[in-house]
Amino acid sequence: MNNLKLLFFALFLLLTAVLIHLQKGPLFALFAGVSSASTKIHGEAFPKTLIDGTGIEFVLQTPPTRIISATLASDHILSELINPQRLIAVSSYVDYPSLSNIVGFYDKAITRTQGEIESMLALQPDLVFIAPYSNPETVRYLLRSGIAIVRFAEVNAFSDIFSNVMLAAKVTNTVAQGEVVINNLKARIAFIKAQVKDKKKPRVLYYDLNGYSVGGHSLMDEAIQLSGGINVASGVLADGENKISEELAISLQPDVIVINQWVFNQDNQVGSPSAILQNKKAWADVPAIKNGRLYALPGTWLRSVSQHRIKGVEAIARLLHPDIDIYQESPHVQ
Amino acid sequence: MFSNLRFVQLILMLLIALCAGLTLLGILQGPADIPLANIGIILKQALFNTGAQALPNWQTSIILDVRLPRVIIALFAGASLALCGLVMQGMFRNPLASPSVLGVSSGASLGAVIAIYLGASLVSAWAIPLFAFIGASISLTIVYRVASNHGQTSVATLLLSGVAMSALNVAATSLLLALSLSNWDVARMIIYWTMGGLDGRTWDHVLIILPIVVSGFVLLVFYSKQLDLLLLGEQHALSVGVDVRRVRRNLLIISTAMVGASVSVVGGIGFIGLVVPHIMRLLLGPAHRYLLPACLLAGALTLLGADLFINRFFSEQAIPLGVVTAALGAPFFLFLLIKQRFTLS
Amino acid sequence: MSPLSCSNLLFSYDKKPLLENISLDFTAGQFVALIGANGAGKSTLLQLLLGLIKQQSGTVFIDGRDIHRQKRRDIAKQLAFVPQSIELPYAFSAQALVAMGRNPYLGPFELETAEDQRIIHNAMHQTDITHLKNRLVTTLSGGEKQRVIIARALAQQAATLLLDEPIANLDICHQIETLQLIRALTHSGKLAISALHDLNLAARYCDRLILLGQMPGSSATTVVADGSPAQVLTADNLAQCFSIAADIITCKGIVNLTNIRPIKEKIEQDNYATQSTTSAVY
Repeated sequence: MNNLKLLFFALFLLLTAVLIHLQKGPLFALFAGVSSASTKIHGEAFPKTLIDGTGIEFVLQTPPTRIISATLASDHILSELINPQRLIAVSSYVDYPSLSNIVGFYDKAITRTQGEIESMLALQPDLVFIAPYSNPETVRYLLRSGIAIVRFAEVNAFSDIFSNVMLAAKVTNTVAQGEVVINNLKARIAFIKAQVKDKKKPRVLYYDLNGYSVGGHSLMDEAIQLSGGINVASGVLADGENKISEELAISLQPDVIVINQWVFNQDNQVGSPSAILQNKKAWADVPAIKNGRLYALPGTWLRSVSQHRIKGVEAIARLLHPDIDIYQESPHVQ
Repeated sequence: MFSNLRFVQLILMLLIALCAGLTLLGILQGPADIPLANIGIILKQALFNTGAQALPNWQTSIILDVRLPRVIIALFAGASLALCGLVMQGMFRNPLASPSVLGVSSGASLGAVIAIYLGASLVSAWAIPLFAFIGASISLTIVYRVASNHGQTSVATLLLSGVAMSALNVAATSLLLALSLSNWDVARMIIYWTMGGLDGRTWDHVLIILPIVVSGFVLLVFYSKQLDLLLLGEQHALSVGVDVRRVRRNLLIISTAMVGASVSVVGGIGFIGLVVPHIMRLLLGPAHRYLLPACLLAGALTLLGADLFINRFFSEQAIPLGVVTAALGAPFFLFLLIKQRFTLS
Repeated sequence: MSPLSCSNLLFSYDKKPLLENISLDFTAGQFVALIGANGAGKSTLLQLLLGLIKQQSGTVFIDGRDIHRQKRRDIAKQLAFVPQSIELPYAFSAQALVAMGRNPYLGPFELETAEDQRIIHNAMHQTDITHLKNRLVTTLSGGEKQRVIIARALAQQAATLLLDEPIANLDICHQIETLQLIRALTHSGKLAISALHDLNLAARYCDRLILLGQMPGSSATTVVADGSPAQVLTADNLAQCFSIAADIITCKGIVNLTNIRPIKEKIEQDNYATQSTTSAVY
């Protein structure tokens, strides 16, 4: 008798597993792996179709007016695209000085969300912006609730930033504004590139005092290259952010070192990252330290994955080549 | 096997040789390519002040200010953990006792994280060790008090309260991390600190750990007879004249200081305090006059070995040092257990 | 000056008195047996006399001085203890264990002198374990371990020997040998106080018996009788403290109990009493 029960149980498990695998029905879509591909959008005018990486489609009938921006990237991008009144919630990170470039931009009346699913649903949004790093469970619930979601692409280069801006613009019906933002960025990048084209490229190390640096195919690598420098860690480390031993960093003998400033220690006093690295005996003979070319830049610029990233690039460019000009902005249309 | 002095001497010689070998490896080998000849010159220059050869300064910096302190710290931190494990196993007469099991390491970790959270770590290099020591002491005091009643310490209760204390400490650390998220840089510092490791350690760190471990070891050597006597049990020890309460108190203070120093410099590392003393005891017997130097050497070479291993093969991944010690230590320990088939009394 | 004495000892655990009103005086050359039912408090009394646990009121004197004012090391030179537990899970050699008895006389780094070695070997010889001296204690039988511990206590060369059930794990031959040894030591001037549960052996080898038990109407243990075996092993005492009746025979001056039988009616009555005193007495 017991063996029979065991057999039935095993069959039931098998059936469930098969159904999950075939993803039959909305219940089982819950178990589907969450794709990290960005949302694709179809249609020139509304209604537009959004196709999520998992294949699920939404049809947006009209431009969304109850938008939840659950990621820092979308907070920043939307800040230059739409009227803030269309937002019913922004991510709580937008108020942190250590992470946000737009502290104080959004009115306090707009709800801050931690990405918690129930509170987001309670706001009755018609569109939610999520990120590649958003909690997969939250994402699945949103999909299942039939709320339109927009997933940004992972950002490893400015071209990804452009894609994300354009995606956000298309979804919110602010394409013209989106183009303005993108063109502004492109102009600024081109401006720097032109100026540093024939200059000697210094060897640059981006270093996090916790023992990390960045290899190729990353925003930081691109920023260094655009600024007319050579990323010493590229080719030595794997792509993206990686651990680097202190020894290896020193042996790379960079001419310039760029580090994150700590937001609670803005000036380079005792206890600031610059002071700490400057005082490390082991680094004393590194050219960057010897020649006083250790620079700390605001972490918010260096960590940004939105249009504000350009500030980091411009800052680095001016540090590498102090004689270049600042881009003169023409006032752009709001 | 144990009373064979020659065997003991052989093992000690072997340990010394391994230690020396690994130390040499740690100095000669690293991510940066420095030719052997140069290393020889640098070391000679440092020791005897001879030969002003034109070597790139950065090579000298790496050997003298990066590799050398790192190797020394690994040796002494490992030694400290093993010695503390030995003392705790003897004091509590239980082979499962160790700084991590009794919640002392996690208490030290919590103390250090508090120091980072409050920003004290940026003010002074001694902030983290001080907070770590306080955290370790508080944890041990609570664990010991809970398990002791009318002067008797139940070992089962001791271990259980150690587990509970560890859980509490880890929870508190997570809480601090969550609270610190609004300040991203502090959060990162906490995360990377809790993973432990030897990267970026300087001679300042050596100053923190070396005096404490050396003096701790010397003091423990004075107590080696008492440690032997404590192994028999409280009643037996008291009856041959050991002031058990005072000896226990002093031993606990010494071990807490050593664990605090070690954790504050390399982060929380488990297994060395548990496995190394046990292996040494299985090889050399219970006499502390052999076990103390043996654990010093064996702990030192275990941690150094683990660090060299990570850096050779996993230099780009952020693997916590404690993971490697566990991964290397656990199978060997299981093998020894099977061979001995001992029962925990 | 009496080598060991106590006055008005009161020991309680969590406010419940376990031992009360214990005043005893011992002189050198005595072999004293502590007898009483299980759980009466023999072990507790021994530990109090050693200063291992602290009484709530009353004093224990060694050579006229309060034991709790003295250092452990000094106490160990005057009192040696053979505990009940023979758990020795660590692989010391028998000789190393006996050598631990010399601890009160040696500094942290001092090795044993020739004189110490002589004392150690003598102790091993007296307890017949010389042939075991290089064996690891973890490989010894219960009885052999017991003798090793007794040897250690002898190596301490203390004037007073306190023993808690020292022959519990020995076979008959070694039981007799051990008791003979202790008696010989008392004849040469030592004081020996031993908890024993075998009444006949106690009567045969000890010149003084102290019976611990509860007086009717009290739940705490006190000294019910104190004197020679004949004075202590009376029918009343046997019934009250052990719930037994026996034929008490004196042969060649030695008291012997034969035909020991439990007393049924007394058992029911005593059940109430023992239930209320079965909290852990060390």
